[in-house]
Amino acid sequence: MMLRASVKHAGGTADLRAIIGEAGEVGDAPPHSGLLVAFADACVHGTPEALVVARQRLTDATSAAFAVDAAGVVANFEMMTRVADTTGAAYVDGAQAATADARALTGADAFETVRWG
Amino acid sequence: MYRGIAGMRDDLSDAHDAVWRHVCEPGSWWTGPERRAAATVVVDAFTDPDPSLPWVPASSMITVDGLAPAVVDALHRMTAHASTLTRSWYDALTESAMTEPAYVELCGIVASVSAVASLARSVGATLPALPRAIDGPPTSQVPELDRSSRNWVPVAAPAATRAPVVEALSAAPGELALLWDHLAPAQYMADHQMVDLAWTRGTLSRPQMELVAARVAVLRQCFF
Repeated sequence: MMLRASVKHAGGTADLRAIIGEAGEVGDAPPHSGLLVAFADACVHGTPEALVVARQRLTDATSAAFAVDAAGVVANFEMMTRVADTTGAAYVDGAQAATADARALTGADAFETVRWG
Repeated sequence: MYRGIAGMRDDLSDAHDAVWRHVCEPGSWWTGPERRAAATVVVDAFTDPDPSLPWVPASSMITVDGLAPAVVDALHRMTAHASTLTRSWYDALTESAMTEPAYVELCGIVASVSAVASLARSVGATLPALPRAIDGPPTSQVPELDRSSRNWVPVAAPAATRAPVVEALSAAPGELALLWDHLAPAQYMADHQMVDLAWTRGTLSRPQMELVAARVAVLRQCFF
């Protein structure tokens, strides 16, 4: 929801395919979307070698400070996903309907959190 | 903590230094040595490239001084397989191994230590050793608690006045403060900045930040 809201605020329409790495660098996808998704993937699941490459590519295209701040966002959501999952945090009222298209695109309704109950 | 890392901000490094100190201090329900031991389990689980399966008790493979096997098992699964946790798992754990507020304190340790382990890995830094644990009894300080239909865990009364993820750690005030007053503002943005959809610290735009956030949530199979 925050991605859609922030893009709309900037005068665009969010291409949610960016979340699953399919929006490329065109249209309303945020600049460097591909590099950011690749970096996030490497931070979470990548090998050390893949992470070095993804970080360097992002740094070369932006700056060292940009890459550090991207890593900070990754860290924040490694933190927040654990807060949500370990405490059994639920959707707030209305969020189910508001996120229906994003959940369909990302397959969120089949996420482990849902499957495991 | 991140000396020599190009582009590192002091506030981000300071926030993570604060985590390392905090997890070695007495909490509300766990002593400093117990919290430090818990942090080592979290680091090991987070940095393990091939963690054991969710239903395999970590305590069958590792022993941690000062922590009961059930606590080690819980910490490992909360860190490595958070998305597989269930309400029935939570109920069984808090009926047999620890109180609900003590569990919430562990949730805070898992979350904050995971953030440090994540950033260190992402920027190519080596995690420093945890400081020596501070002795002393737990404070037993806890706010008046309430039940909420929006969290498994009890929250500070009155319930359902804030977003579920914000209320989630409110039964553990020390963990709540660390997360929302120090970590989130340095890693992402402060609570009051979230309403400003154009806010940026000069590097990533807000849509770029939200793209990374959403991607991590997808990778961790978390609706959040």
